[in-house]
Amino acid sequence: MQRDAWFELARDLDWDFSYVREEDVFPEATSGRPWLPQTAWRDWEEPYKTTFADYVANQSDKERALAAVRAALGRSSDFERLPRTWLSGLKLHNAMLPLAEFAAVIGNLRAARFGRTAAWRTAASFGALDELRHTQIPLLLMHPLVAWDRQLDWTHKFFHTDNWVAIAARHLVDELLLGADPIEFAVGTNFVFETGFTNLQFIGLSAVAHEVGDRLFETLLGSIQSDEARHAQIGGPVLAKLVEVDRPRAQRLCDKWFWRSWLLFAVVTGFAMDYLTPLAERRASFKEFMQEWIVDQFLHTLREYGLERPWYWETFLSALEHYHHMVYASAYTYRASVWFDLVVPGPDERAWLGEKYPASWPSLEPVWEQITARWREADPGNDLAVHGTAIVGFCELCQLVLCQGTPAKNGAVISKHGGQRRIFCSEPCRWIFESEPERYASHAGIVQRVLEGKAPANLLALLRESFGLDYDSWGKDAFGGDYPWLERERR
Amino acid sequence: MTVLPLYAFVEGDTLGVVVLGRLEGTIAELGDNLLRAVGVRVGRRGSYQLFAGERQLDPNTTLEAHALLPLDRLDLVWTERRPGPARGAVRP
Repeated sequence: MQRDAWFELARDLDWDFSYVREEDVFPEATSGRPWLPQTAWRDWEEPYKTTFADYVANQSDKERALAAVRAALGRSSDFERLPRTWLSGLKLHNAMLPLAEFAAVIGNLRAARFGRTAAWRTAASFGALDELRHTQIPLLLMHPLVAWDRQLDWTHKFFHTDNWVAIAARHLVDELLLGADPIEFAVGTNFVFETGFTNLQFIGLSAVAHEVGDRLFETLLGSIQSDEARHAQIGGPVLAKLVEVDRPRAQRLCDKWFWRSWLLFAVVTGFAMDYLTPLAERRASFKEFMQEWIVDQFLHTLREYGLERPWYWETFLSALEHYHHMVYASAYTYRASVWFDLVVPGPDERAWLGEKYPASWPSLEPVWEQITARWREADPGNDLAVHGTAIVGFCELCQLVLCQGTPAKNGAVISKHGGQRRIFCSEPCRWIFESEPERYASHAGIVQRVLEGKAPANLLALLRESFGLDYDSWGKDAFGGDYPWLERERR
Repeated sequence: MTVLPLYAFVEGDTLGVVVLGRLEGTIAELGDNLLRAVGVRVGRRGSYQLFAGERQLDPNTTLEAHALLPLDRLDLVWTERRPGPARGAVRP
């Protein structure tokens, strides 16, 4: 039988219920708001259609290609040839990717059961298989390296610790991928996160990996991207229906998940592109990638659905200039709290950053001058002499450090909820919290844990007992503060 | 000794931190502790003022006299600028 003869019927084969109510088969709690009768979803159609046989054949080809690259380039000696700072980017990604992808399996499976049309459920089933693959690929490719590098070993423990980055990542992933109903999952994950942002990672960062000569990571990203591009298309038709019946909710979900996705990518991709990629291999700044792939394309797509740009757009544009730089400088001075090494940008890198970020870099330059001055007074390798010791403040929504706004005026805001004083890194984070306080109010961040005596206030104790790090695994200066451009006075 | 945790932001810094202030300690002592806490990123740039919201805090009075609450926001603003750390000793 030819594909055309059966496919249209098979991909959307649904049935009418005779002895149960539709609301019992697809309860609102698990199928999502607004609850609509099945007839309202009948025109749902995914742009990219595939059969299970085609899916298996395509994935099998991709697996063979990946296996060939792995066989040729998957040894630890291949990684040893990569720039030291690039390896830090790999460690950052290797911690974040596998279990976040696994959480996306769950989100897709919920849609595969509770999505409101058979075609949607079929597409989500493929999505779940995709995400399982994306869990396995980084685990498989990086596994030989765990014996070679303690920090790479630690990446496998990341999500199981109370490290501050892990707390922030879980806070995002639990809501977006594990807790969201299929409608919010389709808008937040498939439309905003995957259509909007992952191009940045899988096309932008993949191109950078090519320049650096990391063919394995480039292949990994490329292989994952082809899956993402397919299942991301679930988002569009769900969003279109949501706009039709409840436009304010559609706008709110896009605004919420754009902001939360932005924060994640600013840290992960922003660090990798503007600091951890060797200068000679950089072709564009993180901001330039964002402008091309997010600002232009995402706004265009939003308009196509009849939606407005997020209400906080001016705040976002300012954050595009400042936020990842402020987080990076802060993380550098608390590098023992992460599991990868960081680097001080040298004069050439700072000149490049100044050229790419003329509006913000002059306010950041004094911070790096101060850090450099501290290193000048410290012996090489004495990392803790150039390190913060105070308790860091964290946003009570995104759980990331309080680095919004500008160095001249930090964007943190304090407000009171249920008699409790809370701090947020920014107005958008406060807005997200205040829109659903019952969802977020019980979460205890690091500052609360310290103040309640559930986590130690002493930094070294906090690193060891809560963050799960030790001297071998925690981050250091990638060059021990010993830079060719940094001259120490003879003492 | 009663200790008050406060969120603190120094002009020119990239990060908000939590400082612990003694209720019977002065605002000036708190400011000095704060500058030590952020010293790895921000050098002392001259004289400064501490604010709690719009309220300018008198450096010679205690935290208790200012009725500061746990987890209030403090901002340290420079009032007289000194040059930042010398750039020197950077090889071409």
